Amino acid sequence: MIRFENVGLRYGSGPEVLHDIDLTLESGSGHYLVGPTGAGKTSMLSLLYLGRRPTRGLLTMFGQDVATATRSALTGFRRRIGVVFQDYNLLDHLSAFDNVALPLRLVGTDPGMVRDHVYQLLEWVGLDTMADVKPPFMSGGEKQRVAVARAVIGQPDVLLADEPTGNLDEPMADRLMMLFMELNRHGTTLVIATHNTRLPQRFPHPVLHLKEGFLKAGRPW
Amino acid sequence: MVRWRQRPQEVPLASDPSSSFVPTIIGAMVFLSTLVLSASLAMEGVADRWQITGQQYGATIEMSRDNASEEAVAASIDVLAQLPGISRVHLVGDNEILETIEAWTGGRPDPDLLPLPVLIDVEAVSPESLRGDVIEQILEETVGAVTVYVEPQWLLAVRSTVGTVQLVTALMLIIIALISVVSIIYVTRTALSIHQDTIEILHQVGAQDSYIASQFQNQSLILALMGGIPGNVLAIIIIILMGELSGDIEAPLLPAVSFSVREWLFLGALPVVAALVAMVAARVTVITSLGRMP
Ligand SMILES: Nc1ncnc2c1ncn2[C@@H]1O[C@H](COP(=O)(O)OP(=O)(O)OP(=O)(O)O)[C@@H](O)[C@H]1O
Ligand SMILES: [Mg+2]
Repeated sequence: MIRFENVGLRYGSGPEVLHDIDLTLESGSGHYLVGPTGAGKTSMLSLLYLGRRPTRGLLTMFGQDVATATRSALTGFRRRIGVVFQDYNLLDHLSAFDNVALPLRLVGTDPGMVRDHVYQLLEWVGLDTMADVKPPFMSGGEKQRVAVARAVIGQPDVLLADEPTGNLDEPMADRLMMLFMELNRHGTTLVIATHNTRLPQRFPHPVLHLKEGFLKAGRPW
Repeated sequence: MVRWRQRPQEVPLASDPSSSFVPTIIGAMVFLSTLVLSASLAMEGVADRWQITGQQYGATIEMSRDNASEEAVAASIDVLAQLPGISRVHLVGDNEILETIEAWTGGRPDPDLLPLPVLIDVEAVSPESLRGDVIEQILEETVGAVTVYVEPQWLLAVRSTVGTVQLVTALMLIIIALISVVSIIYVTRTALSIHQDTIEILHQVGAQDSYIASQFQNQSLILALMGGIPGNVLAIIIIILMGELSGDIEAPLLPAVSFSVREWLFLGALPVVAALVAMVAARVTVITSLGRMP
């Protein structure tokens, strides 16, 4: 269970970009996070993936106040969170294979198992022939699919996806969404930030609506 | 698709500019420290051969047998033993004196023909406690005129030179170590900022600080060995060549330098020591820098 209580976030000494967020996400739930550009979707996800800590209020994840968690505790939490970043955040010097393998290798998974899992996922996202290609030589959609594969390979307890289908055509977008829904069915808590109004219709889940840093009731459309 | 996949370096340190800087600086530092240390070892070897490395300073007091009654000698020994800084007073027996003379002349002299003096050896921990004139003056009252032979000045000079060389060696080794450590810290900090984005991503996917530190420390170890081993080998070649040259000159005061196996191992261990220092310096730098991150 994830709990926001009166959370605010500002970047450095800039203006506050998230205000008074009160929210509870039950374990195994699935939500869309929508809102106009600049509304604070990525900022909100960055709190959830523990990239930043709230500047005020209380955020509780995995039963602990993240403001007081130690560095090693945070590392443990991050291993349970998969993230598809809006700008992918792939390591450019590593091949698609090695990028996807990263979360497994960091927890010491057996190399044979790593290889099997990585190829399985690369095949699912249609990139099995690009295992040795590095991100700078990939299209936006290809990078996006590598990012998705890396986010899900550790079967995370929490999956956060920031505009995960932005660069994909409809069939490929649906294919990845089916992957997310499958994980969600197996208990992964899911938050997908998107501008795409088609996704909530096709794969229904409750919608969280952000506007100018405030969480609003109801859908924007 | 069964293919062996080698695990890549997740922080791409191998392509950093530091990958040529670290071997250069550590190579130079190991080269210097090998030369400095070998000079110091050589100096000690020479001193050992002259048996002048002890911590004790000595003087010998000679008095004529005529005015040295047994009581007078005993009284002198008491007086000497109570002087400040004196660690040992020893009456040299007649046999010892005769043996010494025998060693010099090759034959044992007849004690009846050669009047043996009374000799008292005195040892002190510092040369200041062995002022000949002071001792003469003090004993004047107990036994009358004596002659005090203090260790010759040149021997004291060599002694203090050996001490100074060791001190300078230690200082230079410390400076060299400091330069190496500071360089490694600088290089590591630079690399941390170059690879900040990569490190952030690694953290995000669950890498611990110690995992990231291990990549930096391994790189530091490898680069330090890459520089340290050639620097060490080069210095040792120079030492051997210099040994050959001084052997040709046969300078009589400088016995040819020959290191024991232990001393060679000592010198050869320097690149390993340097590499370990570089490794630890890199690790500590990464752990402390990352620990300061939010
Ligand atoms: N690193 C940053 N430093 C300072 N301000 C930032 C930073 N990232 C985002 N912001 C600001 O925070 C606000 C919210 O940005 P955020 O990226 O969360 O929006 P978003 O909803 O994800 O937008 P988009 O749909 O375009 O991705 C914006 O006003 C933005 O300028
Ligand atoms: Mg965004």
